[in-house]
Amino acid sequence: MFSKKTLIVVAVAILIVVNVLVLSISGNRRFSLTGPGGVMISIFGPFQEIASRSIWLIKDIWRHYFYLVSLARSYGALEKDLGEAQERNTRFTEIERANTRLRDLLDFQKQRPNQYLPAEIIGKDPSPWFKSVVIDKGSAEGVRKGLPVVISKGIVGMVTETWFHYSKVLLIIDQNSAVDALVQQSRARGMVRGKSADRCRLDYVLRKHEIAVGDTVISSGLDGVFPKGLRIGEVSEVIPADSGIFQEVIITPFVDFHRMEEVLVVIPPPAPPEERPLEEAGA
Amino acid sequence: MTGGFFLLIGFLLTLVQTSLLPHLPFSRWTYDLLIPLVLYMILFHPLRISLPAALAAGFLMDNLSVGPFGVYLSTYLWLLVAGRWLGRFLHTGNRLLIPFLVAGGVLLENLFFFATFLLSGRVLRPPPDAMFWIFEQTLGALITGGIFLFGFMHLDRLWSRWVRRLTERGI
Repeated sequence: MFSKKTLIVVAVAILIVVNVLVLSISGNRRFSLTGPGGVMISIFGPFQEIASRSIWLIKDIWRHYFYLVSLARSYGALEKDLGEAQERNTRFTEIERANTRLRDLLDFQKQRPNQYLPAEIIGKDPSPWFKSVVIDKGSAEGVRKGLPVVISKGIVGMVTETWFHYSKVLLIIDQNSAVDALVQQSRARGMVRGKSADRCRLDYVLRKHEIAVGDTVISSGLDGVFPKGLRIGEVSEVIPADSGIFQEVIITPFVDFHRMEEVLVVIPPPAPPEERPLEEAGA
Repeated sequence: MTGGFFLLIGFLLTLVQTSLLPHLPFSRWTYDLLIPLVLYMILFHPLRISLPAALAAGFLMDNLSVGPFGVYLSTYLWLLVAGRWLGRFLHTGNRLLIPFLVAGGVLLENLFFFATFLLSGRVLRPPPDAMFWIFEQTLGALITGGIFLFGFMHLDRLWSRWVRRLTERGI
């Protein structure tokens, strides 16, 4: 009844319609659908973990190699002794750095009432359209969708998906991320959104507020996700608008998203147990 | 057998682009490395191997990305449709044509991302510098896409020879 050509055209047209429908539905759901993907990430995650750890190790070896070679050239006669000492020294330096970093995390944890779950970054988003990372903690460790992720320097992002031992974190430098924020000095309120690889925008800041370059931007706590007072970044540019009610404020985040290795997932304290009636408590 | 071999290569490439490439200084020039692989499967293997390959690659990438589910799946499926259609008119094994096919694949993927942003209404917003790095990625694909495809061709040949030798020995 129909020619082969007609059937192909119809099939392609149906495919286009189905594709448009699928993309518009999943696009409106904001983040990817879960389901069988959990199995996929559980298989892939351990390999990402191994690869990430290996690359950090190689990076360290690479750095230390040049360090040691330059020392060996400078101190010819003491080469052997010094080489050994330096090797030990670099190992200790690494341990010291890790120690400082972890102590920073611990100090940071002590300052806040929430629980902080340390996690390691094992992978980054394959698409340049989105800025996200995969961490090695998931629902088994108490991570839930919507929990904030921070480091001692400031806010990193928010958990958007969790699996058993892995979670996906949307970084604040992503275009689709939003953090309700305050400028610490002027108390001006706005919404921090991702702008580019290293910068964010502070949207909806009224023109009447005086914002200066170098001002600190912190979370306001009003979005119900990030606790109040977490550091986000500092104002790096203010572009006063000639018209309209808002001004454009550019922020440089305190977190270096390219060098970040460990993060803390903020787990809110469990709800206090309901108070028992007095007579029951006395019995 | 061949499907399994390329599944392993796809797995390794995904690992490279999610865990290793972000540490390199030229990472912004890199594009989706599964595009040359999927294209290779489409151009040089029958549908019974290339279709599952495209589906598996799309599913894996969609799960690793924070973006809306289905963008990678759509890209690879349309690459399959386009690749098979082009194969009727063009000699797709032509060495001069191959880099353009990979670059076309990269453009198609970015087009899908754009389409998803548009279809989402105002839920998703595209990055402002997107045009710039689409250009960088396409240029990167034009320069290196051919190397990947010829690399896969070489690996495929080695793999087939190895399988044939094992079969002859009755293993």
